[in-house]
Parts: sequence; C-alpha cells; structure tokens
Amino acid sequence: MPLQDILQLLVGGITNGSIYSLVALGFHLIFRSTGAINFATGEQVVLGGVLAITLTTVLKLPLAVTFVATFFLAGMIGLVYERLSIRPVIHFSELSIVISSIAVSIILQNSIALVWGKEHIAFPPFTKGNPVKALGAVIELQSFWIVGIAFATVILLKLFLDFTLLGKFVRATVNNRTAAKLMGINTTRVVAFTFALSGGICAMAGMVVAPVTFAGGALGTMMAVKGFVAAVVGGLSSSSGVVLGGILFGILEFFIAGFISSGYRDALALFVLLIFLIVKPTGLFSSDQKK
Amino acid sequence: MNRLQGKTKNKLNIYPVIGLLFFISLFPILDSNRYHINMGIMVGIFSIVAIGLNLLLGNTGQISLGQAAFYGIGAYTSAILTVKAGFSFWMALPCAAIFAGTIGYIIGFASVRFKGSYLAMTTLSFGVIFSIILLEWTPVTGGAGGYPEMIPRPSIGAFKIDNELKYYYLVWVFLVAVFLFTKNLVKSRIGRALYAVNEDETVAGIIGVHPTRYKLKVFTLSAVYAGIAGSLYAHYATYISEESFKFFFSVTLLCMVVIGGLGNVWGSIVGTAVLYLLPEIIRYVAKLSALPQVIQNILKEYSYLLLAYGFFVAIFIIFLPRGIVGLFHDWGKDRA
Repeated sequence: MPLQDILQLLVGGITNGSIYSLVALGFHLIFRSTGAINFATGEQVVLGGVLAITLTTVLKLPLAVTFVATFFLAGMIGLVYERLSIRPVIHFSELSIVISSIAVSIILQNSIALVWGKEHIAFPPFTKGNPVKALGAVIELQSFWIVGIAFATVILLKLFLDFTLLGKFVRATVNNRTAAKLMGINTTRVVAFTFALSGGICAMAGMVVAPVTFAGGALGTMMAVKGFVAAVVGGLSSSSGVVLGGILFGILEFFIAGFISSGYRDALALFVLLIFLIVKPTGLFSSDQKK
Repeated sequence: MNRLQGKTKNKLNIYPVIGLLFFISLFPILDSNRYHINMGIMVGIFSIVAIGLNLLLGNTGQISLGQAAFYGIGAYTSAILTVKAGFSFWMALPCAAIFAGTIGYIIGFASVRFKGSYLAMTTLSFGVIFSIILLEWTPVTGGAGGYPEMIPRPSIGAFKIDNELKYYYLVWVFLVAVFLFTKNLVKSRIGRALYAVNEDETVAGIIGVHPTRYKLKVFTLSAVYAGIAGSLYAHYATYISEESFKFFFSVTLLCMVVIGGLGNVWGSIVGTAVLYLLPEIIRYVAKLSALPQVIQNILKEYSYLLLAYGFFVAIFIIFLPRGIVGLFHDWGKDRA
C-alpha cells in the first residue's frame, strides 16, 4: 500500500478517534464517580449535535457562542438527569443506576426524535473551503476542527481538574468516594457535577461530529458502542488512558476497514472489545491496579 | 440487592399456576378472534425471552441488552436448518437454542467477570453489530429483504400445526415448560447459590460458590431461552427479517422485565403482557373514541409510546423496584 494511502487512513483514524476519545471521557468520568456505566452517553452526544444545529440555524448564533452555549446547555441537562434519575437510586445498587440510565437514554432518544425528527439533520461544516493536501493525503477542514476541539477540551479538562478546587474535589471523589466524603467533600454535589461535565463533553463530541455524520437519528447507540470500546482499549479507569484509547481505536478501525472490508467496519468494535476484555481488561494505558 | 428481589419462597404456590393454565387453555375458546390469538402467541414467545432476561437481572444483578440478537440467532438458525438442511422443526429448535447459547457463552465468558455492567455494554455492542451482520451477510441471511424462503410450520407426524390456534397451544406448552423449569431452578441448589452471589459475592466465594461461573451459566441459559423463542417465532411468522431483531427490542424486553417485577418469574409474563398489549389498547381506544384528530395523531406516533416506556421504567426503578407483581405481593401482605 502506498504511503499516501496509509497517511490518508491515519488522518481519518485520528479524526474519528478524537471523537471517540471525548465520548470515552464521558464514560470514564461517570464510571469513576458512580461505579456504573452511563447508558445515556450516546444520546447525550446526539443531543449536542441537535442543540448546536438549533442554536446556529434558528437563533443564528455565531460559532464560538454556539460552542459555549451547547456545552452549558448539555451540562445543565446532565444535572437534571442526575438529580431526577440517578440520585434517587445511587445508594441502592449499581443495577438500579444502570437501569435508570437506560430509561433516561430511551427518554432522551425519543424526545430528540419528537422534537427534531427521526431523520438525520445536515449541519454545514464550520468553515467552508477546499480540503488541504499534505503529502498526498486529503484532509477535510472539518477534521482540523474535530481534532482541535477535542484536543482543547481534553487540555482544558486536565487544567481544570489539576488546578481548580472544584476540579480537585472531582478528582478526590473519582478516586475514592468514601475517603472524599470523610474529608468533608460534598460528594453528592460532586457526582452531580461529573454528570454535568460528562454531558458537556459528550455534547462537544456531538457538535464537532455533526457536519461529518449529520445529527440525530440512530447515531447515538453507535457512538456509545465505539466510545465504550475506546474506553476499554485505553482503560476505563484512567483519564489519559481513555483519550489515547480513543485515538488508537479510531486508527485501528480505519486501517482494518482499509485493508480488509469496509462493510464490516462497525462490527470490528465488538471483536476488539471481546479480545480486550479477555486478554487485557484493564486496558493498555491504565496505570492503576486491576479493580 | 434485596430491594430488587421478591422473597424466595420454598414452596411453589400451585394455585396461580393452575389459574394460569386454565386461563391459557380457555382464552382461545372464549375469544376466537384470530388477531387476538396472534397477540396471545406473541406474548407467549416474548415471555420466554423475558423469563430468561429476568432470571439474569433479578438473580445475578447483570443486564443483557443483546437478547434481541440471541432471539434473532435462534430464528435464523432454525430457518436455515429447516429450509437448507431439511431439518424438522423438532430438530431445528434444539440446535437453534444450543447455537444461541454458545454465542451467549462466548460473550458472557469475556464480560461477566467484571463489575460495572460490562456485560450490558458488551451485549449492547453485540446487539447493534448483529443487526449489521444480518444486513451485510446477504448470501446467508438474505440481507435487508429478510430471509428469502418460506420457513415451514411444524408438524407432529401427520398432524400439522398449521393454524393460529394450534400454534398458540404449541407456544404456551413451551412457555409453561420454561416457566416450570425456571421456577424449579430458582428453588434448587443453583437458585440458592445465585441468591448467595447476589447477596454478597465475597461471602458466596468463601462458602464455595464461584460467582462468575454462576453468572455465566445464567447468562448462557438466558441466551438459550431467547434462542428457543426465536425458533418458535421463525416457524410461526414463516418470514423473518432484520426488523424483528433490532436493538430496540432488547430495550423493550428490559422494560417488560423491570415493569413486571425483577427476580420474579411471574413478573416476566405480566410485564410482557402489559407492555405488549398497551399499544394495542391505545390503538383500540384511539380508533373507537371520538378523540380530537391531534390526540389521535399523537397516539399513532411510536416515539411517544417509547417515551412513555422510558418514564415507566424510571418511575418503577425509583419508586416500585419490584414491579407490578411486587405491588400485588405487598398489597396481599398488608391485608394478611
């Protein structure tokens, strides 16, 4: 295979991979704070897309404002979600949390279908222009946006978690909820905050991906599957792990599709997941011991 | 965990079973409307899947979102074996069940060990990807157009099970068998082991009950039940397509089990009947009454129904975690 084709696959893989990274981060935050997998993650991604479309096309907001507004709107929806359906069951069992999150995913999915319709909605690329050619590979401008926004989100999150008091509360809670509580941190509030944060991050993913895949429709479930596989590849319990896992899985997916068959590209996710769960369930980049 | 479970009783209460059998056998005689018998058949088939899922949820605390796929594996295996290999229904059904169980075992083997609902997420991936395989693997599955050939109805010797009424009894014989088997399983050594695992995995491990092994067994069994149901469906419908085995059906099953009552075999049947009949009743009411056009249109929209399911599940898991059946249980206890 010529070099330019390999480069082309690499570009596609990194672009998709950065989206998976964001979704995987959403999974990671809630997994660490509640011990359960948030099944509404995929729908929160879709929500970001449709919210952004409404804000730009109906309210005619500029792009930068849309970013911020979507992030905060989705974050608020995350807060409401936590308050109404997670907090009442958080002390019962993990099963209750998971079922509750599945219920929310059904509610979100159908609310989106009712408000925005069942069909995919087209979203124009953020900047118009011809694709860039580099070393024989063709790079769409939207790819820069996707990778850039994903990078910015990850770095801002890192800065927030490391240098602000609230961020430190989140880290403490995520590491050990009981210990954090004993140190006087209001963990109930911090858990709520992680839901807001995770909702916001997923919405960012939905927003940047919308011009490529369109928004709405059945996108959510697939996003959730891919994001989760990415998180398992990197190690669900490590924040830098899930980000790297996302990129790696994105690249892997493109290469397999390029070399073997593109029809089964989506089926690959399941095989990667099964292999990782059997061989290396802690993921590639997880620093801590097996839970 | 207690919160999600009914009380385990040592004796099988025989009266409700007799009552159920009585109702089952009389229903088609009292009401010979073919459409209603069709509903009875579908409730029976779905209940078999729901019983398996409920065994998994209520007794091991694990969730599967891939039951629709196992159901689909059962249906397609049965279809291919009878049409292509000339198997009879009675040979194809066990093969379908075993094949669904084998795939279930492989998926369970990878994911049942972990805490944090890895099984749920893995089965979700499997469910979504199974749909893709059905659509893509055209030479075997017929692709988007559905299985191309007609799947034969079963027969016992010269006796052909060729109409709805006969098939209704066939399905319910299977359902009663699955029901009794599950009831007995829950009461057996395995059932008590499961109870121990669900109460406290560490303690269960100490007294010699291997939690993972039991979870894997139950998950495999739930896949086998789904395979049986899938085979029954294929030979009833005689035509199958990817539409019937979408991920959405797995979610509906989960709703049925939660609303009916977790960890309760009766709950599976009640939940299935309620959620299956609800849209029918709504449609009936919409057709009958002189509701304004706007409301009639709303009732026809499927998304509203699903939205309602979502709210039901949330309400049940928060306020009535033992489902409809649990409600009756408590009511009976208060009176006593």
